[in-house]
Amino acid sequence: CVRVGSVDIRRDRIRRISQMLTTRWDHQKSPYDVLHVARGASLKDIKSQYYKLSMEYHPDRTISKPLEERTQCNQTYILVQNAYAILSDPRKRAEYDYILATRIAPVVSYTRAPTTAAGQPQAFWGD
Amino acid sequence: MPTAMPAPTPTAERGDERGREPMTVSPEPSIRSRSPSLPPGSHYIGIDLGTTLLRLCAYHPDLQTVRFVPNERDKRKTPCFVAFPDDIELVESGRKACDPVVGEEAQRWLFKYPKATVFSWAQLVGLKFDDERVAFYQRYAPYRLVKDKYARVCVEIEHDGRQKHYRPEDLTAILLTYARQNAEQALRHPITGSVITVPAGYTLLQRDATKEAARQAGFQHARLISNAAAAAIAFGFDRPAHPTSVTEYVLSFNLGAAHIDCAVVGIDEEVFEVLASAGDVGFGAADVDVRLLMHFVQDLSKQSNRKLTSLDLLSLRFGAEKIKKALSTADSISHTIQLSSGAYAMTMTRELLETLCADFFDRCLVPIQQVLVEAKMDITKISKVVLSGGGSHFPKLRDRISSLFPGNHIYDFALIDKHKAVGYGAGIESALLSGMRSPNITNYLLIDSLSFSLGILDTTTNTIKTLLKRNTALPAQTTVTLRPIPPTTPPTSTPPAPIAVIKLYEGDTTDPKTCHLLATLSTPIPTQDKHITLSIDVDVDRTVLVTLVSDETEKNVRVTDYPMPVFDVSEDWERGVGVTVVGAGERKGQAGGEVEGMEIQD
Repeated sequence: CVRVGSVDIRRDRIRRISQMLTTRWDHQKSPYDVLHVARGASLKDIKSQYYKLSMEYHPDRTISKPLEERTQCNQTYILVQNAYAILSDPRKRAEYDYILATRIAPVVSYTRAPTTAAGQPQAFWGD
Repeated sequence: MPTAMPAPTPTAERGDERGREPMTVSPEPSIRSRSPSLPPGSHYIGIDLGTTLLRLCAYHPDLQTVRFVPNERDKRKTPCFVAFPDDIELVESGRKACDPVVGEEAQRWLFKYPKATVFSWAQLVGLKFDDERVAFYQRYAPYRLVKDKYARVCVEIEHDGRQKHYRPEDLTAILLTYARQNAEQALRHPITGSVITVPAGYTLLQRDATKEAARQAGFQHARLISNAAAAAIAFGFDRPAHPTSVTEYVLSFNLGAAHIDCAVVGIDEEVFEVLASAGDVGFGAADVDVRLLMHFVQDLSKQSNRKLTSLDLLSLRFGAEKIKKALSTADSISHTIQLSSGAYAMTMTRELLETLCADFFDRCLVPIQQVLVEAKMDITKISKVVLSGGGSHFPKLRDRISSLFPGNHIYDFALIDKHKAVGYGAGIESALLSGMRSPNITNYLLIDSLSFSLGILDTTTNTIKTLLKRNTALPAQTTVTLRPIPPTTPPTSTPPAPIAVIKLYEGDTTDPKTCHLLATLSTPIPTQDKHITLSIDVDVDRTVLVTLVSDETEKNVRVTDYPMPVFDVSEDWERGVGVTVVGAGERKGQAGGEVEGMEIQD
């Protein structure tokens, strides 16, 4: 158990967060990068940015676009959703910030691509 | 599905309803008076599909707003009745014997052909025949409920001396066909899609049954939104000017005839985000009618010479509905119901009604507490409580709800008739999906969320491991890695290739018995130390796509293809999704081959 600010972080929860991050995640980008907000952004800014990106990428807003572009917007929107799921929850955000600060953020990982499944998935948090 | 469509008859009563329509700004063309200048593309219509009433709402490009679509009798609401009368009057008018009649036309046949007139079937959608609620509905319904070969509930209608079974979704399809033809006649252009309101507590199966009904009715695409979300959208367009860039949180409560919907919705300038929703399906304002009915029956049984026929029960039921509505405004009412054994006169007071329904109000408040907890929302952060649906008129219920929210006001719609709020919201959503770009109405977005958690069975503990939590914003996606556990007993002979069996469940508990089995997926595992990656994608239409990756094989399975295998009928199931199901007999033969269980790597 690690204490960061006012939030206690349990190791198993960090594992779960890292699991979330492996979800179709572009590992070059942190949730902050995906939402185009600064590391210290307020919750209000994060939310308004999320709404702004939703207006741009949500499948219901891209109906008139060609199919290929729509698919791409959809992929982007999944990333936005995942990023917002982390940053809108104070606890998850603190945990993620902790991961970033201690430089154990997932660098590379197996994704759902079948090619990577050939090898053993790496244990991130090998105890 | 052929439907008898009487030709639209322009009647003298035209304009009656319009006079009461608060949204009407005169002088203004009626929605059907001129052909609108439509952009090419798909055209959606909003459908408020209630248990007792149906309302259609569509975007009018010339007026740049949404309007309710009148039916062929020029009414803006259509009762949800479907009848199959074998009547000489209809046969003479050139109607085929098996053609259904819909709406007010069907309501007319109720007392003449009670066994062939169906109403209030929405609560039957997606139910098993063995469900305890089915027996309850059968007690108060004149039509017969039977079991089909998939153990689902069906309505049995006799026409031409032959029995025919209709699934509840078939009846919905008949109603929606009527709605589509009606809208096409009134709007004078083809309709390709629909936004249909459903109870928030509808499961994926019930939603799929509704979508299937829409498909049968000729809609290429159907988007289902909850009644509470639709009412919240209507609120967003009705509310007084609000400082921009401040998100307002409202609690939308919808009490329909057979459902309670509740949602916490965050409303930004242009985004509506459903933060949490909950509901009670199969319980609603119609339960008050049933209580009144039971009270009447008890009262009548004291008068010894009275024998009640099934038609009498029907009269009492509709009488109870009238009395209930009247008591929303009056303190007491005297009413006479004609029964076969003579007139039954009674006086009913609001006080007595409230005593009869004491626990009813308690149950109405349960979803409110639930959504507040799930949205992690403090009661003081809720700025308005939006009430919609017929049942929300009970003064007692309004009192109970307003006492829950100190300092908050129950919002009464200013521009929109509150009966129409849900339909209005569906209409606005349909304008968005049509791709209309009108500055004042369509520049917004509804972010809906998952109604129930999705999870898979963890066979090591026999509990359900939640992968996507309820209220996750849609579209949602998640991935987990599964590690097969090799069987504990060594195989006696050369085992066949091991098969991993993954069961996908929908539900909020960890007990598989109380959740719905959505799918049983299986995939071969080449060697036992290999891992399987499982992804679940839920798109905005709540189509669930499951992707299994084990070594070289990748399998995509669409889970919510109709019909779904929820009632453990493997035959039905295989047709739906086309994956291998390890049957019980098969499993015996390869005892050593199948993996013992799946462990979720966390």
